[in-house]
Amino acid sequence: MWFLTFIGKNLWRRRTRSLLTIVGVALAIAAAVSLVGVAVGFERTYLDIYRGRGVDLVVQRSGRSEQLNSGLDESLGDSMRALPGVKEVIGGIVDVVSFEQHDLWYVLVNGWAADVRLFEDLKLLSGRQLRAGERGKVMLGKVLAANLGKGVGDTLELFGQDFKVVGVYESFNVYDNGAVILLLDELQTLTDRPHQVTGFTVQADRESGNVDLERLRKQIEDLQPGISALPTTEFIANVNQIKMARATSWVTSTIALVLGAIGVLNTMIMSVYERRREIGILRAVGWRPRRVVRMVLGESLLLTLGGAVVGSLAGVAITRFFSHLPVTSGIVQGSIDPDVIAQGFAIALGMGLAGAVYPAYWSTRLRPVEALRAK
Amino acid sequence: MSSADGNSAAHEVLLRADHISRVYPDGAVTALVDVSLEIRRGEYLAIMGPSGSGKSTLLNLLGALDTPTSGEVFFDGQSLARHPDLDRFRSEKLGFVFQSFNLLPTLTAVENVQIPMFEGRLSAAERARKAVKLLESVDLARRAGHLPGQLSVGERQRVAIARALANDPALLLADEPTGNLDSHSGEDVLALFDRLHRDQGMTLVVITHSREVADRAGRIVWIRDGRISTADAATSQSKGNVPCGS
Repeated sequence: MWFLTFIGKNLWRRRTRSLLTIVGVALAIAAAVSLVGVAVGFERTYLDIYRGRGVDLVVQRSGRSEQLNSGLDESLGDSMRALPGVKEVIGGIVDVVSFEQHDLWYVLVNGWAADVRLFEDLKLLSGRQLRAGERGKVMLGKVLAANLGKGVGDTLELFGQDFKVVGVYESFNVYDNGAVILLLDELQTLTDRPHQVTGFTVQADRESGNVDLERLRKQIEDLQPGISALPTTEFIANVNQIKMARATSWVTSTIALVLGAIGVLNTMIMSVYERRREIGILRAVGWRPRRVVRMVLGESLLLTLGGAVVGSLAGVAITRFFSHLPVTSGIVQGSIDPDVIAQGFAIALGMGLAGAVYPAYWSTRLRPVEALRAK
Repeated sequence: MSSADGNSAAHEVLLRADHISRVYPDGAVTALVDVSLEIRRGEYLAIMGPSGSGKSTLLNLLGALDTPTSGEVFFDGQSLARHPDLDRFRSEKLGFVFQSFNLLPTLTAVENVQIPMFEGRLSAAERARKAVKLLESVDLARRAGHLPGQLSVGERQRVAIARALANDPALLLADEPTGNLDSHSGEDVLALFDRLHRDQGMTLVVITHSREVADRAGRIVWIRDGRISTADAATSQSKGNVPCGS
């Protein structure tokens, strides 16, 4: 018989309690994996938007934590284009609207000029691309089109006006798929920001040799006071929504994990207390305190490992489920980063140790002769 | 008299209690008072006395499950009070048999027998092989895969004896080993003890309140009110030549 077999049999003996503990741990891990996974996925997806388009720097009004509040003059784009080492500068407006009747509360509206390269990254599923100079026309991402039940030729109300859908597209990015695109100048008028953009993306010219992004960043910031040029990773890390999503997910997860750990602690205390006579027998036949500790820790770790497996699978399933719900499909990506699952396992094992430390310590304090007298 | 008594090692003192007393922490109960006792290698000793006389307390002290308030216990001449690892000592040198068997209910007979071996160096396969052999020695190999709940009380006690022998102990300590058994099962257990003593020279200390059980031993020590009873010690001489003191 392996020591592990002995541990497994101890758990199997109180299978209902073991199962309930595993469920408790699994719920905590599922909450942590899905919430943190969504937050991390949110950040990665955001990053992919910029990286996928080869963006090196994001320029916006300094001190603004998100593009929506930023406002810069369009002419700054020309100044940046004139800098050595700059390949491309794209200015645009990002705004947010909601479609309450469809339960869609956070839909991105992108204002792009008709000639920007960004359109090349979109795969047209039906209709056509926006043309320069036209008014009252929009393109819809495929997820948004499906959620709204709109297609080419349908009318959509935005900013109190009717817009005709001229194209439905698919992007490599989940947020673009849940967004709507208008021409930049029309969105500037609608949002009362004439000749303004919420930010620029800058692509460095890598063909001309080594790129000194830090130098380029300094040159851009010197063009006008009160602007910041941030590398994409740094920009993403400072986006308010991402910071809030990350903080919220961890706070919620921590509460769930603490509750899970208390469940493990409760189970292990009861288990050790009920078996103190058996522990006395084990000590009488020569088991050292550290082997009893290994037994208690082993049982706790096996329980939480089971919880981690079930919880991780549930977390992935929950995330997939929400990625298909209309309300969240434009925000939640259907996959969980493997790092998050690894973190879930590490946390579960941490819970196992935390829940077993006191019962294990208590078991070592039991004197064999007293434990043997226990009923 | 057992054949073991005729061995060259028969006169070596294996275990010696030297003026041991046990007072429980609140000071209200003095369970054992100034008890001295020698147990020779290969001896079969019965400790008799009424309930509450201190028999089990004495067994716990002899088995290093408890420590005396005063006095010392010596095993092979070494003081247990100064022993660096009493867990290892119990594991390697002692085997315990309890009145209520104390088998682990979720483990089969063969798994229960392996429990003391975890502190040794045997592999899982070696542990299993040895456990089967031990069960054969108590005539229970055919019941190796049964849980304690599927065994008769007599069979459970024989499994417990096999477990006590797992690490080839020098001394077997049994606390009322037939107390929960019917007369037939009790006879089986006592016959097993006889065989261990006779064939393997095993040193046995059996706590009992049954004269019938005690009569199987080579020597009987009486204990009353926490003291070795001198009056009864005289009686014990009739069963053997090893003196007991107090």
